[in-house]
Amino acid sequence: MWKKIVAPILLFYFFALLQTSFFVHFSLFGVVPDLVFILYFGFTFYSIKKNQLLGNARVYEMVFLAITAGFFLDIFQLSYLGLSVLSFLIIGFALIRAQSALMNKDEGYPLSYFLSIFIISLLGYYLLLGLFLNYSSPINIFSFFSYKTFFSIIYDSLFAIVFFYLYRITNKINLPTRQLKLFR
Amino acid sequence: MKGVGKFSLNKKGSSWVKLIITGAVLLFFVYILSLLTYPAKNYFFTVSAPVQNFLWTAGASSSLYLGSFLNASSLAKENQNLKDENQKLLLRVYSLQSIDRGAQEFNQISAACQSKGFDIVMAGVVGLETNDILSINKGSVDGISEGMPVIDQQSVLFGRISKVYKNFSEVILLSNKDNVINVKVQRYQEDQSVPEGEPLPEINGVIRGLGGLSAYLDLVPINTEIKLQDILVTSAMEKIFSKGFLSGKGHQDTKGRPKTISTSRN
Repeated sequence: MWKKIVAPILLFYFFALLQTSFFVHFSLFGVVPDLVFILYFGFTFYSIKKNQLLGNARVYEMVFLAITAGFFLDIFQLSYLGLSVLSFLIIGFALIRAQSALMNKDEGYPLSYFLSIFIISLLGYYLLLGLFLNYSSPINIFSFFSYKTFFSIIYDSLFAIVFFYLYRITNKINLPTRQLKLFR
Repeated sequence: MKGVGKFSLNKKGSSWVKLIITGAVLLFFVYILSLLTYPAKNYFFTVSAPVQNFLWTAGASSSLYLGSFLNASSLAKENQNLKDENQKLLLRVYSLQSIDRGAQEFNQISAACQSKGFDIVMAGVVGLETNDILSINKGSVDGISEGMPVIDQQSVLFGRISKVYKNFSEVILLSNKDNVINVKVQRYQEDQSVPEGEPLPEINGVIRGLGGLSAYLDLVPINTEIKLQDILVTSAMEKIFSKGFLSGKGHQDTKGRPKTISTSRN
């Protein structure tokens, strides 16, 4: 039980430090990888295998992850606590809804499925952050969408792919093959 | 059958109530979090400062190593040394030009550059936040207050203190999207368009932040030719920054588009 609570807290704390102190030196066109978002998205995405599609346990887990990840991101990256928490909660609920709508109970998701949902979530995250940070002048939310968004998606997707395969290896998830499905 | 219909309607209604209550609770929680911003950020930055310092140094050295590895032809370290030397030379060029003009303001600029009349607090960078905001490891206990200009060893202006916590502070960089400062364009010394002996004309403009650690020079008069080697110094019109801080130099010259200026990165 302690692993489920303490491990994510430590991981998100460490990744927030990494993102704001270490990876700022590896920015690509001024874009720093959103490690905390990638970790949060990955954990929420794969929480489906342990719980039901829309079960309460999954929602509670997502809320816990969103609060932890958002809290540390706000501490080290944004001026006000709560903005990332709120964004992560909205993204999390949308992700759970999307996965339940797609009804893919197979935990061996292909990379394309993972990546496409990741990119949509990332764009949603930028949109929400833009909205919260420019609440006084909502038109400015489009300033969050520039050519840098394009590089940001590519850069973050690279890290997300690394997470995808690392998670599969560490959790021993096999990639689904056509042959296996034929003889199921 | 009617009963089933009523049941499903009630269930749907109660789920909406649940959703609204959950949303309200979450919004209240976020509001409480926002009230705790100051103590929470100060606590975590104080606790994490050693780790952040270590990660910052590790990141800087490993990116330097990676950079030199990727660009085998030129050593990144040598490049950095040349950049530092260039900054010193640019400042020297500006000082010499001021002497040639005989401007009285030079003494003030020189004094500012050589830290006379200023109380300087040495601080280290511990993090870079979104919207081009730096975190430094000095706060109100070290005498830092909001609005103070932040410079490096070569008197190159980085930005100003935007928020002060007990043990650390946030610095809003020149490249921040909300940042606009008045500057003077100091013409490059070897400008052939001006006859020898005559003072070089000063051009006023503003630096606007673009985000992503870059900015551009705006509001310069039309038909003004600005060279890549021209340097920009603060003009103190907005009464935030003192006069004469080196704030950048021409970096990219695109016809019909604003010039990007290069700002120092640490």
